[in-house]
Amino acid sequence: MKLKIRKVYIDRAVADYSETAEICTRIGGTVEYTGDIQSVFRRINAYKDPISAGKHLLLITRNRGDFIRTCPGTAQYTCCNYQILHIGSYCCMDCAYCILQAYFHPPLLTFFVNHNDMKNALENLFSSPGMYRVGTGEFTDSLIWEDIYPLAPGLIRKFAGRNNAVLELKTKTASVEHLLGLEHMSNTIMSWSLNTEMVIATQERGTASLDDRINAAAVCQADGYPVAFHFDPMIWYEGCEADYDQVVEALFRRVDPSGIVWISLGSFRFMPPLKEIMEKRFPRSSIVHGEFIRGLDGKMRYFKPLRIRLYQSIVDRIRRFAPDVTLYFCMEDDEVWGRVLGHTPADYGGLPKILDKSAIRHCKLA
Amino acid sequence: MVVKTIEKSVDLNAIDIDDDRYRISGASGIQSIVESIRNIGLINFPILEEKTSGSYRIVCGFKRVIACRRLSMPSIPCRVVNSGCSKIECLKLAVTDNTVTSMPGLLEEARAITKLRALCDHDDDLPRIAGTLGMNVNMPLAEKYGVLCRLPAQLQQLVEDDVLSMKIAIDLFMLDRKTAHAIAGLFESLRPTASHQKELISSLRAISALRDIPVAELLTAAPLIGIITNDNLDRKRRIQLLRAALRKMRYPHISRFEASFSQNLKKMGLPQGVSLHAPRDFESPVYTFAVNFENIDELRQKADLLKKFSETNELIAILKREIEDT
Repeated sequence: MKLKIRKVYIDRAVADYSETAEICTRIGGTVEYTGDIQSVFRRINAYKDPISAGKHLLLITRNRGDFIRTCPGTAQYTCCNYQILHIGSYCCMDCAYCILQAYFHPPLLTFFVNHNDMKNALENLFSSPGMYRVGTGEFTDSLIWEDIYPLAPGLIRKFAGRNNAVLELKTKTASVEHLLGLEHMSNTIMSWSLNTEMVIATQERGTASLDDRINAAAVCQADGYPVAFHFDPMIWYEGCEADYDQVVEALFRRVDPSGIVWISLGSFRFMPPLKEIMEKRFPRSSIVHGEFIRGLDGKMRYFKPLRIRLYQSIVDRIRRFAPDVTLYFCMEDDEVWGRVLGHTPADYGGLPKILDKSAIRHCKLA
Repeated sequence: MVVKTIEKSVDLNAIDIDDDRYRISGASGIQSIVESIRNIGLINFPILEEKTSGSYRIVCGFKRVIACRRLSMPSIPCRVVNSGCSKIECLKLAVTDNTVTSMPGLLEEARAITKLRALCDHDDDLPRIAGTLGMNVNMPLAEKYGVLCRLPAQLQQLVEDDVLSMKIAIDLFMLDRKTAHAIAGLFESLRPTASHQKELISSLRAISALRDIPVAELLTAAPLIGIITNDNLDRKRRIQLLRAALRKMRYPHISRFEASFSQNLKKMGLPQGVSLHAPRDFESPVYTFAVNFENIDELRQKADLLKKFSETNELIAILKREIEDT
């Protein structure tokens, strides 16, 4: 999971930032200073496979937009109203289903170093009324950057002791040693994306194994961190239900359910242009050939009765080990909620409320 | 620039018909040229270029030269281009001759553009030079023409015969050879429309990937082979059955669910003027009953029926959306 950078492009605007200097001491590859980021993008787009190339090229720049954004949900399906802390974008791991392949033009590892602006954005958030669940794992993996810049410890300290905000670090890596022993005060939720051994082996190139992810979660839990898990994207294949059962069993062999803030469930969905990319980059992957229909938001998703069945099966298994754990769906409608969980988000004040409540309880917010 | 030529009689054996540097046309229609030359004689003389070996390369008139050979003529009158004529000038002659003597097909245009492109100093020059010869082309189209020219003969022939569109032929070329050959054979025998071809390719590839069975094997095994080779059915019916069979294989759960919905609907026995519509792809939870009526009495009567239908096991089963194992 280490970043293997062949070339670093440094935006001249951040050339003398201390963060840039620190990264330069930790990273290999040739360095090029640039005042024209568009020309960098053009060069990457000219690669035969820009998506693969972009995983070995790093742009160090400043975030010229908002550091904190609300998760872009859609009206047709229920969103958790998560706040995204935009620390950087793209990923060095290579998952067949990853939307980031089609999301950025071009896809390029990009790390923002105007951390003073980020800190100001966070201070504003902390002083605003309301409860905030903030995560860095939407446009990138939360922990892939740690080798070149240890951002997570600083963020963990920043969130520690806040009474209206929690940080969720979501990852498919397992390197958490440097986060142990920190004064996190339970405000940071360490979370892992989980999938079956089969999906990890065939669709998630370069990610940590299931065992390593679960072990890392157990280690973090022992260090007092609240933990969370995301079964997303769940992928339908012959025998998948039994395989997901095994993941659940493996999880609860190591992790105490009482310390789990939430478990989310979501099935594989994608914007249609991703199909062509997947077919080209992962010719041996058959997951694009599932029984998909075009969802109400324009994304391809599994036929609803199939999704319901998949969810019912895993929820049944999770409930056996963790009857009280907070379960939620990422981007599903009330019908799915009702049929699988027996209630809709509205029955409990809406999904954000449900998650806030769980965060307040597990993260011991005042 | 006007190309200068001299007329001379050339021994047919001295003409290298395998040198296709300037060849634009295909092989079709030669027999009618044979008949024409036999009856009327050679009206338009082929244009040749003298090679350093002393033999001649055809610039224009491949079919005429071949026809004359078939007629066992020892020599024919030809026009030979000046030795200073460049390759691109010769090619322009070939393209122009092909355009004025016949209605060029897609493959001929593809060959003309691809050969022109190879002789252009820069790709940017191609649209302008092609334009002077009456052909509109942009670079993406030129790329596709290039692929078209590299297709195996079977696929080129199917494009020439209008069985395959250029896009479908190129899509097939991108597949492995066995798969392309098997699908091309299927299309040659059933001649589905372009949209059906697209659907069939997509389904066959997906099923092949999901079952890890090569497309060629799928097409030669039950149930598909039984449909494809059923001579008791006409072509359209076979295509219809093939599509239905592929859909069942490609979307087993969805197909069974749809069949179960139809069965339940049938069992409900809705009267004329009352219909139940499922949401598109069963994604939205909202079903729609449509009721036609002409007066209040009819509306009341049908409203009573709706109440009755709402209590049937069939409607309950429909709304449950449970999925059966395949």
